[in-house]
Amino acid sequence: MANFALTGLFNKFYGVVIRKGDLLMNLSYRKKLKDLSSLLLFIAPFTVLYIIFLLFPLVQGAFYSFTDWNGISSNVRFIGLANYIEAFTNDKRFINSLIVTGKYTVATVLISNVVGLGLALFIENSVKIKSMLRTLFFVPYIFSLVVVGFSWKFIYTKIATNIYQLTNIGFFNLDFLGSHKIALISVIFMSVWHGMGYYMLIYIAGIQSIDQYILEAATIDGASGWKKFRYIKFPLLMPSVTICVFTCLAGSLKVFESIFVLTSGGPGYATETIAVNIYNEAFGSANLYGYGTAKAVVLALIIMVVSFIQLSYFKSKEVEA
Amino acid sequence: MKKLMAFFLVVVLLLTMAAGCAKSQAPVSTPDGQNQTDQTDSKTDSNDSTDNEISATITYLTSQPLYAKNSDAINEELHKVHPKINVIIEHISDNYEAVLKTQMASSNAPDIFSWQGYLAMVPFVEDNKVADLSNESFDSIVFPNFLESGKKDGRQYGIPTIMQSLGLLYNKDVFEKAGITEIPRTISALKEAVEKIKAIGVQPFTSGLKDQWVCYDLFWFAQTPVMDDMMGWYNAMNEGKASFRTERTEKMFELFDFIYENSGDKPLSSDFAEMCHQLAAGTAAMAVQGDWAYEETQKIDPNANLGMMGLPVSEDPAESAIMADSAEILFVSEQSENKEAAVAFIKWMLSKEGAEYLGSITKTPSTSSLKPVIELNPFAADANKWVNDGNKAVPFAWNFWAPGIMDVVGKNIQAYFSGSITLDEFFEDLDNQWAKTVN
Repeated sequence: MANFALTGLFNKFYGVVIRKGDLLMNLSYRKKLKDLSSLLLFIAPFTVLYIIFLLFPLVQGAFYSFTDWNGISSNVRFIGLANYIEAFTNDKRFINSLIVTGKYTVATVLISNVVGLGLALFIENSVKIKSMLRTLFFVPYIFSLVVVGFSWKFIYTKIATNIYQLTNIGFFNLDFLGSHKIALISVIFMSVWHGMGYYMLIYIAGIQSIDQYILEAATIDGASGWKKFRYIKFPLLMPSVTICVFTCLAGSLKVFESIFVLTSGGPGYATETIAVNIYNEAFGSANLYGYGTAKAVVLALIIMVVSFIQLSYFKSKEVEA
Repeated sequence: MKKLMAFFLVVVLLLTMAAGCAKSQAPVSTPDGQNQTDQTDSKTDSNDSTDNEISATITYLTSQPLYAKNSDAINEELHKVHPKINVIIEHISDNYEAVLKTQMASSNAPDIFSWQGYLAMVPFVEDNKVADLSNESFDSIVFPNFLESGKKDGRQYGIPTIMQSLGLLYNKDVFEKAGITEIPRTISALKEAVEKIKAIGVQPFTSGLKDQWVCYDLFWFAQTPVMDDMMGWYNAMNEGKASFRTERTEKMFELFDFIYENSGDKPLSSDFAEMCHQLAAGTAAMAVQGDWAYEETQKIDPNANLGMMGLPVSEDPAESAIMADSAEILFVSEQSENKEAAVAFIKWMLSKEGAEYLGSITKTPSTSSLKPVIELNPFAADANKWVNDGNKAVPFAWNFWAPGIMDVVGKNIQAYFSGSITLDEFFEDLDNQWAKTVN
């Protein structure tokens, strides 16, 4: 009986109607059952890991966001939505971190993609040193952000000062990390430098997959370089743009390492993004673990909503040749 | 058959993963029961031996980098007294709190760890995370006034092991070159000294303000040194009846501004390491910091002629103060299975031989009352002299602060100096944060 119910389930799953006694159909049904079980077996290790290390902590984290847990105590008190209300009504630092993250994200997404696309087009046109340039621009991306952060900290403080002493060019004497007006720009510059090679690579792949016949046809029709880009290459690159903007957006909204290493959110609160703010709140001397978790849930929701809107909008703009 | 085998292997793999996540509380016993015999062996050993030797390996999480660096030598020295105690010393400089909390949450707390005393230890005490050491008679080997920092409701939880000091560090050679014969004890004398230092082309101060903790260390001088009734103010603060803004703290900010203005081009880009380096190299003359800066200054010039004095806080020379307080306050985890060994190790640290040996590494005074002879580093030596000469010395301010206020002070000081908030906003925000954390 149970077996029969199972059969029904699999029929539904595969949309196959099995007539009893039909040997041929029964055979193919058994084959499909076998396929399914091997499929389940293959994804099982990952699914188990995913549940243990991602899904379970996520649910647990969401639970702590409704409590006043201090990260040490075994006494966890349920306080409902108080953490969320506090974050939006009585926490200037959190609101500030939302604004900082907003500025950072808009700037990084725009600049990274424009620069990445620009580099891709430039490299595709420079035939001779193509592979060398491609490697050169991609190199920063293979370094860990922490290493890059420490290097740039050194560049912004020591090297820039030395250059100033040698050349007397005022620009190099700017207080790159210490001024609240410039610090965020310095961080954005480093992030773009680090990430542009990755986006460049995706755009190069996109450009290479464009059918040469279309471009040839356009050339014969007398389209100039800019027109070819605007009306042919760019629309056909839309899938690459979707992917690049999506990765960059999600990454920027939760940016942590680069800022933590370079400025730790300072001076003051000038570069404190949401993730850095959460870290300080949950692990700093304040001991507000539950509160930090609530902010983390808010951040997760923001990332989900923004990414969803971005993806569906960009998808709608994609065309096929 | 093959498929069955593959299936079996996958199941085994999954089980191994699950086993990896499980807490390993009981020691895994080998089939022949070897572990069990080992344990009983050591137990009978300790019972048999006449001098009550304890056998254990304990972990010690410290904020003192030199202990971890000299871990092998410390163990060797320890074995002279306790041949069967091994200490694994772990040092973390950044994110100490995060690491400690994570280890505790995963039931993996170190046997001994260093933390602040007074109010900062209260959450650990209230939640039974630290062992009560009242019956271990530490009062016979530690000066009783130091032990206060580790007490709550008359019970002893933390054992302070060293003494640290915070004041105005200065390069004696630069002072001499600038012709400053007497150390400044009033603000106007300090201003004169700064003019003289400028005249010989040296930067008067070096700030280190890029590090938040250096920022709140600076702010401490607007707290304990300028308060007549310290405990009264903190109590009033906890009841919401006081404010950080007083006439005297406002005055202190005039001094802070003066220090900031004379700290070179980019005071907010200078971090602790750079500050120490500049001080040792003589490219800057003074810095508001503590004797722990010694190690970092050594990296530039081991023979730098350095010293510490009180920071002038008014026109009254008697008010010029350094801060001296007990530090490296050690706690024994309640979860620890080696409490006896942990206590024995802390007692060794405070014994005459132990304190002298550790002192030879850190060159910092011990809290031990057994009169260990320690050669102090120049900062600590000057601080010691300052206190012994009967000058003003006050405790560190953070011991009385509401939890979480440290970060806010550090960040707000940076924000104030960078010009993104005004002094009004600075004080208002601090008062609000205090009220919030106390509630």
